[in-house]
This record gives sequence, structure tokens and C-alpha cells, in this order.
Amino acid sequence: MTSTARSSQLALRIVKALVVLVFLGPILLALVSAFRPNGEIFKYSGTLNLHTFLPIPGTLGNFSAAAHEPQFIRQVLNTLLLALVQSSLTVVLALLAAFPLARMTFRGRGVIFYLLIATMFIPFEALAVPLFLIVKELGQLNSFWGLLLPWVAGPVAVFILRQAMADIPRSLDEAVMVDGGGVPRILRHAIIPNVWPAMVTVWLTTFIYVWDSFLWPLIIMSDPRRQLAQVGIVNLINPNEIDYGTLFAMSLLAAGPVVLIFLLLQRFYQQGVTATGLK
Amino acid sequence: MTTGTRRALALDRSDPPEAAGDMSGAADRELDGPAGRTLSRRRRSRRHRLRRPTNSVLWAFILLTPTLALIAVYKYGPIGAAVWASTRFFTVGGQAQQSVGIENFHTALADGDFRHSLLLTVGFALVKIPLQLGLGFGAALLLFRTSKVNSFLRTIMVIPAVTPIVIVGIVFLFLFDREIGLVNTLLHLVGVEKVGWLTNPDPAKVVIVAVSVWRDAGFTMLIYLAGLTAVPAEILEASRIDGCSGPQQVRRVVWPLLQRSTQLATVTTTIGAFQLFAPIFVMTRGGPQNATDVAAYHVYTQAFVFFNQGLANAMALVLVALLIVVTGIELYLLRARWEY
Repeated sequence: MTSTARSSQLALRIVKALVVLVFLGPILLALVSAFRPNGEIFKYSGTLNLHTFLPIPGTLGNFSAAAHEPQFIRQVLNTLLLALVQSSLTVVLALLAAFPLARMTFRGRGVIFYLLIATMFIPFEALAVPLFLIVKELGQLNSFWGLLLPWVAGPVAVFILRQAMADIPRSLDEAVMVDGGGVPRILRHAIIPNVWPAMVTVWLTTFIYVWDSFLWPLIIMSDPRRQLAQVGIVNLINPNEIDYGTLFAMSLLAAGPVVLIFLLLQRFYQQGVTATGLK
Repeated sequence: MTTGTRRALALDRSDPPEAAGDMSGAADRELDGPAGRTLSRRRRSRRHRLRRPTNSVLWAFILLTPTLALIAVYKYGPIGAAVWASTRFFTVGGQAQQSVGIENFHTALADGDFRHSLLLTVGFALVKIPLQLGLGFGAALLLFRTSKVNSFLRTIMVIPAVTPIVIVGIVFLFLFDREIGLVNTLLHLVGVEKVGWLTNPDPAKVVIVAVSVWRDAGFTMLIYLAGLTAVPAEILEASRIDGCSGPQQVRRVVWPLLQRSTQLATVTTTIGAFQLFAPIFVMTRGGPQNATDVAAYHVYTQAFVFFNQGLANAMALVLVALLIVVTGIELYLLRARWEY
């Protein structure tokens, strides 16, 4: 009995080691390769020895090459700015919209809620082509607004915050009202102190979503100075001679911030998945 | 707003069904004891409601308008635009010409390449879903118990899901490189010849499936972990007392109870599979020989490489309609049959 228990323990450990290898391995390899001279990448990568996995001797040359790509640093900052603005604005808009849907009574509330929620189930990446026509008609091609406005009002965000608000006792609203407070003070004193975890969840998932976006900036943004980092990187891939060292250095700079923020706030990310099952 | 309309609103107000856990509702019911007390409480709370700012239609309007306006323009707008544009021809400069009826739909459905891209998309989803659900469910079972090692492993599995998809594409481009890729190097160890992963049709399909499953498996794991947390311990206990062995318990008890998680994971994976674009753009550009020309990529090239805006919109509508049908079928097949 003990020997089978021990061997099953061992099997579990092996499986867990495999998980680390398969899911962390590729990321570590890329990370390490960002510090290797290109010559070494090509010399050792087809072989299996210490040099395949460790950058000895290391170099920061790839990073200086990345920094010298004309618009790259600017594009990373564009991405950061858009992600910060969009996720913060999404939280504010969703908070405002969720309040009447969760806690006020007026005619048409149900219809409005369903019209909002229905858009959760439409695949908008698949509808990028007609969305392009709308944004073009509004004169927002090649602009920050064209990147921001189509996605800033999120049905998922409204849904998550509405659920969170439904769990707060209504007596709290009444307590604020007895003190003579209106809607702004209810929001400030009764709602926000209670739904802030959901607000962080919405903020984080939106931030990750913006950082991941590719198709939309690719089709509406033609000015490289206003482009986002992900599109900028892909445009630098020369299929005939891929400069992996520089690409990995750029990837590290372009993925680092979002992964760091995820690591800091990851319990909120899990709550987002639990709340809706949507990214 | 006049007091009259406010009163009307207040009287008109029938309490909406409160969510479970709404404490004030529970308190109301508890107080519903002797008739006299109930009556006096009702009267008091009605007086309260007369002064409630939460009955103000004006406030609801103010709070909802920004979101509703954006949703109307950018969510419902594209649907209308797609219907309109799909009945037109466009010049290369993007000018719409007069209506051609449903000709674009004829062209789209008669186009062998488009039909191939739809089949490829469905096939891709059919391969991806079982792989990803298997991996996600397995990982959830493996890492369900709370421990330091397990929470570290959970984090590791979710990191690919939050890494920008483009970066993931670049990493896999390197891993599957014919000359310097680690995959071929490892295969060489066991005596397999170098494979041109991205230059041959079938291997390229394998790589695209691998990238996308690798990236999303952690996300599916989170869905199953949430489901597992909700399974009541008594059910597991009872099945163990009834003599269920470990694997039996997983197959006969846990898996069926996680029907809702499976439904959710299947539908989100399908929607993701139908929108697959970035890895194709980074790694294969639809090639070699159209082998990875999935529908989302095909629509993109029609619109922004060949500038057939009308045709591209018709194709996008066909794609969305197909997706709605497929997810509808999935929701029906996986409808929850258990409550707990």
C-alpha cells in the first residue's frame, strides 16, 4: 500500500514537472535568448548543451538594438497609455451604468439590460470589417479615439459590476439617503467601498485585453508613430532572416508590463473568470 | 421632476427579484410576522421611497447614456453596417456603389477558398476543444488542492493566457524553426528527421493548434477550478463511502457535476477558435498552400489586401451566422441536467 502510494506520489511529481517544462519552458527560453548575441542563438540553438539554455556570455546588445528601432519605445508607451486610459474609463463607465441596472427602478430597465448583455455574445473580432466602416465614417481612422471608443463600453464589465452591486444590502443606500445624500453620495459611500474588488477585476481584465489587441490596431492605424507595440513588433519580422535576439528583447519589453501587472493582481483575474467565464 | 410623478413611480414600483444574499430583502421577510407590524412597516418604507433618489428616471438616464450611446454606435452599428455593406460593391478606394442585392453572398458561398476556410475553422475548433478541455480539466484536478507548489503551477499555466498573443506567436516561431528550433533538436535526439514545421501544410496546422491550445489551456483550467470549488464536499464523501475509487469518482461523479464548466469552456473556446487571427498572421500568413487560411484570416485578406469590402462583409456575416449556429448546438448538447 505504501509503495503504491509512494509511486503515485512520484507520478504526480513527474506530471507537475512536465507542466513547468511545457508551460514555463518556452517563455524562459525566449527570456534567456533576449540576452544572447544573435550569433550564439544561431550557433547553439540547433544543438543541446548548456549554451542552448543559458546566455554565456550574456549581452544587452539586443535591448539597445530594440531601443534603436525608430518607433518602438514610443509604441510601447502608446500601448501603456491606451491600456491605462481604456481600462480606467471602462471601470468608470461600467460602474455608472451598472448602478441604475442593479439598484434603481424605471421603465425599460429589463430591455436595456438585455440589449447590453446580448452584445456579450457577438464575436466582434469577426465583425472587425464592418466596424472599420463605422470608424472610417466617423473620421476616427488612424487616431487614438478609433482605438479607444469602440471597446471602452464593455458589456462584460457592466455585467460583473451589476452582479457585485446586487450583493450589497439596500439598507446601505437608505442609510446614505437618510443623511440626505443623492446618487453620487450613494455611489461614493455605499457602492464603491463594497464593489472595489470587482472594479479591480474589470480594470485588470480590460488592461490585459488592450495589451493583447492586434487585429484592430493593425487595420485602423497606419501611422507607425501612433501604432501599438504588438503590431510594431510583427511589422519588423523579416521572414527571410529573422533577427530573433532583437525580437525577443522587444517582446520582453512589450510583454513585461502586462505580465507583471497580472502577477501582482492575479487573484482578481481568477475572480473575473469565476464571475463570467469570459476573459 | 414633480412630486406627483415621483409618487406614481414609487407606487408603481414592484420590487424586482432581489439577488440571493440581499440582506434587506431577508430582513423584510423576517419582520413579516404579526399583521399589524407588517402594515406599519410597509407604510414607513413607502414614505421612505417617496424621497428615494434611486427612483429618479433622470439619474438613470444620466448614468446610462454614455454606455448606451457607445454600445449603439460601436456594437449595434457594425451589425447594421455589415448588412448594408454586404449588398454593395466597393471601389478599391473604399467608395460604396449601388446595391447588388445578394450577389456578394452568392460569390462568397461559391468561392471554394472561402468554403475551405470555413471547414478549416470548424475542423480547428473540433480538434482544439477536446485537447484544451482535457488539458484544462486534468490540470484543474492536478492542482485543485491548495498548496504553495500548486498555486505556483497555476500561475505558470495562466501566464501564457495573459501574454500578448503576438509574443506567443514569436516564441513558437522560434521553437518550431526548422534549423534552430528546440522542437526539431529534441526530435533529433530520438532519431526523427528535421521537420519543416511551418513550410509544410499538415505540420503547419499542428503548430497552429499547438500554439492556441498551449496559450488557452490555463484559462480553461481556471474555469474548471471554479467549478470544482463549487462541488459540495458531501457528494464526494458520499461517493467515496459508496466505494467509488479515485478514477471512477472523477469519471462518474466529478466530470458530470462539472457540466456547466464544460459548457462554458466549450463555448468560449469555440468563439476564440472562430476568431483565430494573430498567430496565423505572425506565423504562416494563411500558408503554406492555404493550409492555415482560417475564416477570420480569409475575411481580413478579402477586406484589407484585396479591398473587396462588400464581399468581405458578406463573408463576415456568414462566419458570424455559422458561429451562432455552432454555439447554439453546443449549448443545447451541453445543457445542464443537474442542479446542486
